[in-house]
Amino acid sequence: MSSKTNNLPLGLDIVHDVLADRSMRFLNASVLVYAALLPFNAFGLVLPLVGRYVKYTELALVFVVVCGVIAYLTGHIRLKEAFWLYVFLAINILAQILSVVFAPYPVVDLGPAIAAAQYSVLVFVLMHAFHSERLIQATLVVMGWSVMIVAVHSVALYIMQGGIFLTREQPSIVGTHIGNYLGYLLLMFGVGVTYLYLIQHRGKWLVVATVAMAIWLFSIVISGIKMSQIGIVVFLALSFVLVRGTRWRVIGAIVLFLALFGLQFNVIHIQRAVGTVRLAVYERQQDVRRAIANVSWDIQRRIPQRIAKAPKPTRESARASRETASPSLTESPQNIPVDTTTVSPLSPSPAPSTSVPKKSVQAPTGSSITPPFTVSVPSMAKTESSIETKPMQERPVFIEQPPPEIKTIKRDDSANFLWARWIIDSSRSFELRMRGMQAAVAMGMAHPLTGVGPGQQLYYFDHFSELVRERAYLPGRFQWIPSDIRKYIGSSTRLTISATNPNNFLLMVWAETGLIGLVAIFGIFGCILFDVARALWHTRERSGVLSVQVATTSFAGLMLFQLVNPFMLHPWFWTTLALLSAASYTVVTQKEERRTHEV
Amino acid sequence: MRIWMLGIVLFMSVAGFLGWQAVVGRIMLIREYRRTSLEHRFICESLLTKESFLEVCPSARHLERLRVMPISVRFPHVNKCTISVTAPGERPATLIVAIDQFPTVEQARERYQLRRHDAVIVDEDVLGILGTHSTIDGILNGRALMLLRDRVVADIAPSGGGLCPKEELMELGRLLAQRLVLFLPQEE
Repeated sequence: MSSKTNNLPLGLDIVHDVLADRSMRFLNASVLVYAALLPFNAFGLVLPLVGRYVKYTELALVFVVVCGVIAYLTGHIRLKEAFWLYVFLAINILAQILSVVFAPYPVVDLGPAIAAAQYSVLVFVLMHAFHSERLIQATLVVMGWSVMIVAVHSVALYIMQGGIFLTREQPSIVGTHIGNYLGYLLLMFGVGVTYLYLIQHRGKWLVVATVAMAIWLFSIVISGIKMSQIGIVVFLALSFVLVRGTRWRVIGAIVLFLALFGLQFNVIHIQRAVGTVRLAVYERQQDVRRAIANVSWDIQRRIPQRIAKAPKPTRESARASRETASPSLTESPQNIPVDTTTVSPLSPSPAPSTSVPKKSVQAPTGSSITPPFTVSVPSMAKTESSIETKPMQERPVFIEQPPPEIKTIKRDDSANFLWARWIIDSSRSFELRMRGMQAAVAMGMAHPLTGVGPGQQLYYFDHFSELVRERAYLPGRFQWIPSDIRKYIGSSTRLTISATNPNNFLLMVWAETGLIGLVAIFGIFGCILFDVARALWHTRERSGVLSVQVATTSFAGLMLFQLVNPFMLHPWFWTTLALLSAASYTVVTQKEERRTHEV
Repeated sequence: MRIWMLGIVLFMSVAGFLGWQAVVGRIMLIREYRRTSLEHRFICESLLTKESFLEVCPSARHLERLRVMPISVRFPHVNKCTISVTAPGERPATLIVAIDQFPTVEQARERYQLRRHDAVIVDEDVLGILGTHSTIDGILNGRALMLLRDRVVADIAPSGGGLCPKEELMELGRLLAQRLVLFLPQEE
């Protein structure tokens, strides 16, 4: 049995291993269920007795907490020694409280503050729940499987809609029409797909993993989220640096992504080229059909002359000719029924009838029948000899075939969503983000210690956007920036919260919770990245794929993404932090335990 | 201790990247946003309240957590009073009123022309109030009602969530046009 399970493909052996551990089975299962449900965080249910709406991920998290507490009480997991991380997580909670208390305008809705404080607790819980390297690997596997549902759904929509996938306008399986959610999700959970791709041994399952990788990469391409696409390149490039022993596969993934991107970016040109080729093929086919029809026509015209010149038939051949009643070839063909389907002129039997009704055509009249087209007829003798032995059943007629339908041949370049996103929308997007970031900086500067309050930037944004706009009228600003870029940075357009927002997670923290919040977030990052650096240093000589390596590369891509799309108030971001912290901590403690053992 | 050193390194990196003067300049901006006269702040706060807004824009009464929030800021060349009306939601309903009080009439006219230059002008003198220029513009990000009275320029822009349809926007414009005189120097 064990040998069978060890050979399970696509990471199922890892999942089986963690679920086979009797002492930690429930904790492990609850963590995996949480990871599987996390992409669909928007969905939930109304609890029957309480009548309160609860998300599925929240329910799964309750199980994680319960099982984690039991595991702690029974001595299966212990508190990790991460003093400074705990301090900064506590400061993050404190920053929310202070920000609410000292908000310049009373905070009515405490939801964002409570959520932000809860995420500190979430990190604490999850960094302990991810208690072993094997469980973290299994979590990566489940994340990969889970995100494939989203990726396949996106690609299926793309195919069903004839090559169009509009993230912002169609219902998404993620539960929101906001494109950035899909982009962030695909980038974050794609670490699982990449992990599966990298750990797979040679064989048919590697092909399956590669196909899954291609589907996932293509879903990122068609989602049209630029920062997600840049993030994936960074993610894969860092994987090349950090993950030893699988560099060729990483190169393959980068090439695959660039090829898919290039394909989609130039899809209109490709469709045009394909359309041109199809038209050329169509023209060529028509030429060939015309030529065949002319040859056949010419043959039919010459047959009576051959018969006249032929020697007197023998008794047997005369009997044979009487048995086959051939139509007169010299009579003028009036109102001859013509099959509209393609008729092979050399075939002895007519083409099978179709549902298309037969129609009449007016054939040329007169003693001399001119062929409809003038073509050269090669190797006539052989063809004639084969025709002469067979009776003519139907006059071959050339029918024009309708040209192939090429849907996108008249579409312009702006119809290409990806092309438009990169080429047309980029300047506008840059202008919006620059204004949002400047307004956030100004907001934080006005209330530097505790910010405007959690979730309160919504109310203040228009004011500070107006101030940034006013400063755009001041002469001599941003003179060191080239004018082509400066006109977007120093734009005097009226831009409000309905069009833009702070757009950067650090500036969002700065604007809403001020310096204290910023210290907390930098402290949390610093502690985790310090452990990550140590873990990567310890594993620099080890080959094979470690969870800390792929988690680090994924984190880098996600941070890049967050520089223009804030995801501070979402469990995805904090789960990534906890996963990275646990992965690095596992490596560091293993190393220290080994050293202690050696001493 | 090493964690704290990381913070120092980060600060030094930012200072090195932006330049020390730029860092000091940024910090000094805190003062710039707070430096405003009490009189200007009082007028700004009393110009539009939640009650007066709901009187002229009754369609906003159904919105929950509607907030009218004034902020007054002094720039070297202009006193700004910005009043935001916001109701949060999946698509937040927002309206921003920006009232710029210039030292001279010429500057105000120049700003008025400049803002009109940015916009696609739909209609002029829509309010028909003597002594007040009014223009309704279709701009890139929505529509806006602009007013010019003496040395004061006002810009009223409902930008999302359908706050204040056209008729109500006109009413709001009339209300503000009457109250703009508060920003003008009082004759002795």
